[in-house]
Amino acid sequence: MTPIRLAEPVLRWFEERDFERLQTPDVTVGHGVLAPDVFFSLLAGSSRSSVHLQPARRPLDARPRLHPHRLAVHHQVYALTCRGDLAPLELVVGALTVLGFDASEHDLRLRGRDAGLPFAGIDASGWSLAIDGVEVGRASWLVSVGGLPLATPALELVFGLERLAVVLPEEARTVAGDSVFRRMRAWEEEELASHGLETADLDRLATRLDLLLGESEASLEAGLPLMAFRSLLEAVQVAETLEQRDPAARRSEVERRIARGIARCATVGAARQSSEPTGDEI
Amino acid sequence: MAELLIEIRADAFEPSTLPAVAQALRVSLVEELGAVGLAPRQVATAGTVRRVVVLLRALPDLAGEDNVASPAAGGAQAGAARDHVRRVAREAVQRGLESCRWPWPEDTSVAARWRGSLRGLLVLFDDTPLDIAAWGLSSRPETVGHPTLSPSPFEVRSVEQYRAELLALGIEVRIPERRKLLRERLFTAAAKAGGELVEDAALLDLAAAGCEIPGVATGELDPEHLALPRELVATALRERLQAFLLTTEGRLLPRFLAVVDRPDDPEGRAARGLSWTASALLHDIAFHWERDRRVPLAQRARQLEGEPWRDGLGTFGQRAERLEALVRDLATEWGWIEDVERAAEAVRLLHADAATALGHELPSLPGVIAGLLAREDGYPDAVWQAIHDHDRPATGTLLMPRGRCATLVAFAHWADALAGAAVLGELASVPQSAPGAARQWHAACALLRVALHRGLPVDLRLLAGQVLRRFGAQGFATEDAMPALAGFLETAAESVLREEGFADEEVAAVLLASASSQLSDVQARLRALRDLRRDPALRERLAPLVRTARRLESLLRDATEERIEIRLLATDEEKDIFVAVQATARTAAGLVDGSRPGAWLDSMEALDRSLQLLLRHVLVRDEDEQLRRNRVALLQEVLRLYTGQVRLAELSGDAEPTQDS
Repeated sequence: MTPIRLAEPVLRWFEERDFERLQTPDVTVGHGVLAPDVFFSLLAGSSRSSVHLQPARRPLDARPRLHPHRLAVHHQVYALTCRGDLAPLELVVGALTVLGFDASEHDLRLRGRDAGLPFAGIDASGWSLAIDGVEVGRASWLVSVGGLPLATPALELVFGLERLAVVLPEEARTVAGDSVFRRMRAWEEEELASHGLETADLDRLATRLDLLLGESEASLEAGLPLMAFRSLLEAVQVAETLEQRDPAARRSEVERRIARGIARCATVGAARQSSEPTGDEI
Repeated sequence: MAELLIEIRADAFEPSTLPAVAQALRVSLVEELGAVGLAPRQVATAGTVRRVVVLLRALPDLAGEDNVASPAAGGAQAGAARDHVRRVAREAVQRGLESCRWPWPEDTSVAARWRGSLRGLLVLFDDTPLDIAAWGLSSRPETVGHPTLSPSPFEVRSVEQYRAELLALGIEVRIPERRKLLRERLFTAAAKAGGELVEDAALLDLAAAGCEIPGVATGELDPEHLALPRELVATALRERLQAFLLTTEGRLLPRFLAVVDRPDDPEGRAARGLSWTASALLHDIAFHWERDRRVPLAQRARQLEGEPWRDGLGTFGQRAERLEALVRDLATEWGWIEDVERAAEAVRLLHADAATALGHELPSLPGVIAGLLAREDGYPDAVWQAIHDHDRPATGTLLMPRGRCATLVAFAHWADALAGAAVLGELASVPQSAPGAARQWHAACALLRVALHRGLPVDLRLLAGQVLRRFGAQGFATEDAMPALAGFLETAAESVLREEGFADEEVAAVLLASASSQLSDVQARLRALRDLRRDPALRERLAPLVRTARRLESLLRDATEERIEIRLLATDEEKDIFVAVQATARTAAGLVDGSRPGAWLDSMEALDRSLQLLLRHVLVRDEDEQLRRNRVALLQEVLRLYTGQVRLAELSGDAEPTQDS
């Protein structure tokens, strides 16, 4: 079974509980909360719960051989809700039950963790969710995004599908021989690792980063916060590749520029949404 | 006598905050109950990863007939009186829960997590439920067992039944008992796995707080990963898996133990999952280790020179400059000149692991990774060990920086870190629960432990001035930092000296004395004082001196400083005590003379006898102003001997010393 097929029953389970299923983003992010639909809907104070399949790409996690603990590209089910009456543990256990998971047969642990993303102005803390010692996801409360405080803390649930496959019952994770998905992911991991660790040119990466940051600023000047945000997401990926290529390249000035840009996108995006008609009228 | 049981349940508490949460709750409840005359005589706290329990016992019987606080007193129905007390208790508990000051700021994500994870509230007063509503919860007379093994609620009718039913479900709510049980199970599992358990008290605390049912599973390590430096293996497994290591003849075994929150491990799933995670983690550590070794450490240090060290405290390069200057100063003062060049080399490489991938993977190993990489690069032992050991907690001989070079580097590192915090104004203002405050406290205590352990000639005030001068030379504003830094170090010194086994009053008596504040001297006087007070005969002789010291301090409290004029010594008693003062001053250092512990006491007793005669026969408040002022000056001179080596008035005199007893 591919991770994508694992996602489907979980996504449906959330949909049945009034979580709106969002489109899988067509922009590369490392964390589900940075998917533009999620990020900006949080800023708009939307009360709708949502769920989506998130391919997460984290260049820093690329390894030369396919590694089960670190995958530069992996897949998450990302659910978000502002409803205070939903118990995270019940949601987690309920969603996993549809995959044949019987909680009474496993050691299920919630361990505290800081889930904030300082470069994105996100203050969050919650738990990592470990099943039999394998970290398969997390539950976190977000209180600010893009540096702006949320009206109500939002609960995010993240299930790492490749990790879930490690702890699920045998029948749920049986891999039916060869698949295009597996072959392509293995190839992609190899090349990402090779690029980030060995071949990427530092000067070219730095130039690209500069261009993306400049592009983002220009989009903001033009009143296009969503475009600016997308450029910044791309910049985050380039900055991570830069860091992968040279750990000393963790340049604080770049981080500051990205953080400043995201904060500005958040402010402009929030203002724009507050002056727009509601979704029902569009 | 009534009792009150309160249980708050959550999906999960953060194990490290469990004691602080229980304490906050306890303080708040005791305060509110005390305010209505229901202060309990016994309070116990307990808890697991999913429940915090406070048990308040022996609450006063306000419903008793002779209690005037009850409107029922004087013959009203006992039932009405009990109802009244229950109402009073309910209101107090309600206020106690609402006003509880949790150990985190209200507007943070940690507070949001706390609120979002709350699941149930049980309040039982004298075995009957109280209706309380707090934090969106309404109390119910029930609790639940383990969330996946025994999640069904059950009614709670009494404290004993509550504990018994939970125990029957395998849940031990008392933390020390659960810890003990867990430790026994770890030892049993270690023996079964053919190894010796590497004990880790802090990890055991955390693991015990992090479960309800203390179970143990055994994981396997890939033997290939044991070729990695042990520090890396141990830290990765400890931090990511809360794993306990196993050894045989000092070598790591390819097995480890981890705590699971269940009594068993059906089909070995936990063992398999833990082994998978351990393998994946160490695979990653090995990957980073190999990669980080490819670039010389000196090159990494150079890459960092222009990068910010800490917000507002300059760059890595500037910090290295300060440390190097301080290391040179200290080496000169301590007579360790031959170590200075290696120490200087070490400080230039000290933070090079900030430019490595492993440094980011394992941020709790400051310096250790750079030290290991320095060893790989072929630096001499003194250099790589100085880097490796520079942030050790110094809590025991094994955890001290190794050798003089490492001591110089670690000392300079801590002093600079504290001075930096003082320059930023963080030392006095950061609340104790803030992570920064914990780091600062660690640095101050480690610095002091090393100074005491090695007998270093360190005067805290002089040190504060010395290290701040280095910041001043780089253009930082240091005017306000001096009192904060010196005060912080002195507070830490009190704490560290108490750790060394000295009683509170002994520490206060020596630190408040006017003699040298050099740490080695303070420690020597403390040891002498403790030895003296441990000897019953000498202790008995000390008591009258303590009484005299208090009397003198009281007599001279408001007196202005006067000078003795010998020509005005009018009586024999005055002349005698003047001579006794000179004699005692010469032998005052005898307190630290180990050859004769009672020598100082002998001379102080002689002085005391002369003083008693003076006070008996001579009127200090003479009508003649000149005589009066001269006698005050004489007494001030005497008092200096009662506060010089030890400020005797701080001692309890007749009572046993608190810490030793």
